[in-house]
Parts: sequence; structure tokens; C-alpha cells
Amino acid sequence: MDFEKIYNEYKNLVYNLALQYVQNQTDAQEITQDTFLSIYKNLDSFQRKSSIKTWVYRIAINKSLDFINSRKRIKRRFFFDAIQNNQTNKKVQFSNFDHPGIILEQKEAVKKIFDAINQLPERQKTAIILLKIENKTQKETAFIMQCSVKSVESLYQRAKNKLSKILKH
Amino acid sequence: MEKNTSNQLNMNIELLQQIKNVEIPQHISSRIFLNIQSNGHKKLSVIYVRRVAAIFILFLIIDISAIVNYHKKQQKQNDSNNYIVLAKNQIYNE
Repeated sequence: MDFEKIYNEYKNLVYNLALQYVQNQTDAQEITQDTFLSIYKNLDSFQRKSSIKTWVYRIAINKSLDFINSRKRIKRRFFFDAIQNNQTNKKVQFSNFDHPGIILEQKEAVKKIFDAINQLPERQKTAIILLKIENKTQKETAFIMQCSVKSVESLYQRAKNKLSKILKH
Repeated sequence: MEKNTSNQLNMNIELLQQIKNVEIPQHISSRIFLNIQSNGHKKLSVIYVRRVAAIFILFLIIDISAIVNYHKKQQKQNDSNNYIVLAKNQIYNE
């Protein structure tokens, strides 16, 4: 398949997905670039076991999570104190909240929810993003996350419970 | 109380569903595309340069330590030679 065609078809999908993970335009642009670089390099080795869209989704999710983890590592380098370390792991703060898809009146409220979502474990966060923001079905989410529908259900339930606990405080 | 919290959470999740899809800015799009077309060797070359630099520094450290050791040995030999000369002189004087 032609790279240019893939790029034009999925550039906005990747960019928007990255935005849901980092809520910052500059970071999302970096993730988008990394994702397409990876697609470009691995296009020849793509085995058509899944659709190209699912493949693109998986790469974009992995790149977003890698980006967040690299941010955590940088933070760890600056904060030597072990106790502080644990705290920074739990709550990752991103550069600036700068999500262009949110209308101004809802910005504060949505920022609060994203702050809570950012405290969830990786897979729970992915489940919430795919199901509730990307509007994927449980089956599609399960296929992208390479797990069963039941696992997705359980991930979503746990994420919801944790979110309500975080938002209560 | 429990129901209230659940309603609140559902309202929050509904807010998430109102997030609009945005288009990637055109200039970013072309920058990404140019970078990809000009190939991803940039990152590779950085890694390569770092490795070469690391090997160079390693050799430099080995070289410096060898030179220092050589000088120390030479110094020791000189010292012992001096002692021998001194001892000989002492014997001759006696």
C-alpha cells in the first residue's frame, strides 16, 4: 500500500488520538510524526492479519504511551527523591492543557476530567479514550487492544470506578 | 449519594463525547511529510555519532591511563637509579 495514501487517510485520526492522550498540540504533533515514521519504516513488514486502520491505531497508541513514559523518565531524572518519584509517577502533568477540540466554555470541566484520566493505568486510559472519545464499540476496542471483549468491559468498569473516586476528591 | 456520583460521572463522560475532531495543521502536515520523505536516518545518525564518540572517549581514557602508568614507572625507575648512584657515591667516598 502507498504510504502517501495511508498518510492522507489517517493523519487526522492519529493526530486526534494523540491529542486525547497528551491534550497538547505540540506533543500531539510530535507523536503524529513518530507514528508515521514508524509506519513508513514498517510498511513492508506489515502482515495483513488486521486492517490497516487497526494497525495504525495500535502504532499511534503505542507511540502516545511511549511519549508519556519518556516524559515520566525525564521527570524522574530531575526529581531524585524517591518519595517524590512515586508521586510524579501517579500524576503525570503534561506541558500545557491545549486541546483544540474543546470549546472554551467546557475547557475547565474537561481539563478536570482529563487530569483524572491521566491518573489511570495505561490500559484503562486507552479503554476510556477508545470507547468514550473515539466512540469505538467494545468489539473494535478489544481488537485494537488485542484482548477479549470481557477484558475491555472490566477495564472500563475499573476505569469508571477509579475516575469517580478521583473526581470526588 | 451513590447514584448522584454515578450521574455526575456520566455527565463528565458525556462532556468527553462532545470533543470535536480537529484537522492537523497544514504546515505541520507538510513538515512531517518532508521529514519522512527525507528519511528517518536522522535519528540513526545521531545514535551512530554517539556510539563513535563513546568509543573515542573510551580509547582516550585508556590512552591517558597508559601514559600515566608509563610515567609513574619511569619515575620509579629514575628514583631507584638515583638511589643506586647515591649508594655508589657513598661507597666510593668511604
